[in-house]
Amino acid sequence: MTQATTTFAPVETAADGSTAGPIAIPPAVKMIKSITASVVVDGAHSVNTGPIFVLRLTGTGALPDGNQDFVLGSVHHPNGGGTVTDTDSVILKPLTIPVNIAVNPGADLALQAAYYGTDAGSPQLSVEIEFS
Amino acid sequence: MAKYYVTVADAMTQAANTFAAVQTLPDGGTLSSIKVPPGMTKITVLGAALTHDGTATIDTGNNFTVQLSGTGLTDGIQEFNVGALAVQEVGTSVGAALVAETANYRDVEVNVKPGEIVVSAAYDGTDPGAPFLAVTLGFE
Repeated sequence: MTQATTTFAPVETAADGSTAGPIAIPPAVKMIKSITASVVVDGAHSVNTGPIFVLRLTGTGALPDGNQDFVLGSVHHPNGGGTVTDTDSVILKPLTIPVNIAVNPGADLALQAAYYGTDAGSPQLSVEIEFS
Repeated sequence: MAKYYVTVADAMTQAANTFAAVQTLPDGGTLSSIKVPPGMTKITVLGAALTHDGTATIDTGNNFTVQLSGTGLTDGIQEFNVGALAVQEVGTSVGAALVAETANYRDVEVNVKPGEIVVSAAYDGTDPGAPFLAVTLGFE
């Protein structure tokens, strides 16, 4: 996520590195059953920043009830006055949100992400969508 | 299970024990009140994430409360505990750490009707510096 704060940008790289683009909603699928996501900062995390991340589901004709926005979580790298060198690690379980969001089969579902607060450096977001 | 989700957030710059509006959309727009979506009768999901977005004031701890109010609530004002933030320091050193936390989603049952819902939040304790809160409401 290289964009500025409170700005949505596409989430469209597949796990194999290819550009997946919007997700073609499979035929006969009628709903999204769950969303699972995790987010970390892949690079130096700017100290004393603490963004909160948001996922948006969108796409022309994909969502009968319109765009849907979900808060995913937050990160924070406190460093007080910034005089201490630190090395930290975090292992984070993904967040799973059970949902019941209607979709239109055959349409393209687009994923976008944004963050509130101050840019932490280079946040990296992964999203799994479960259709039913 | 909820069918329609809306998210707002804001830095909490107010004093302790004071409610202030939470009304910034993820795209930076302002949503001063949420219009209950047509056909929706309940809020059944409340998601929330907290952070210090800036230098946190040491030796502070705060519990955070989200308040829903407005004409769209059938049963009046509702308040929810959405968690806490704490920062501690031992001695006089300046410490550092890395924190990451997923949002917390909980089931709720808030009856709604056509109208507006205003999201506000407050914290107790000592001003921690730069608390920031995001809230997702799920309607069905």
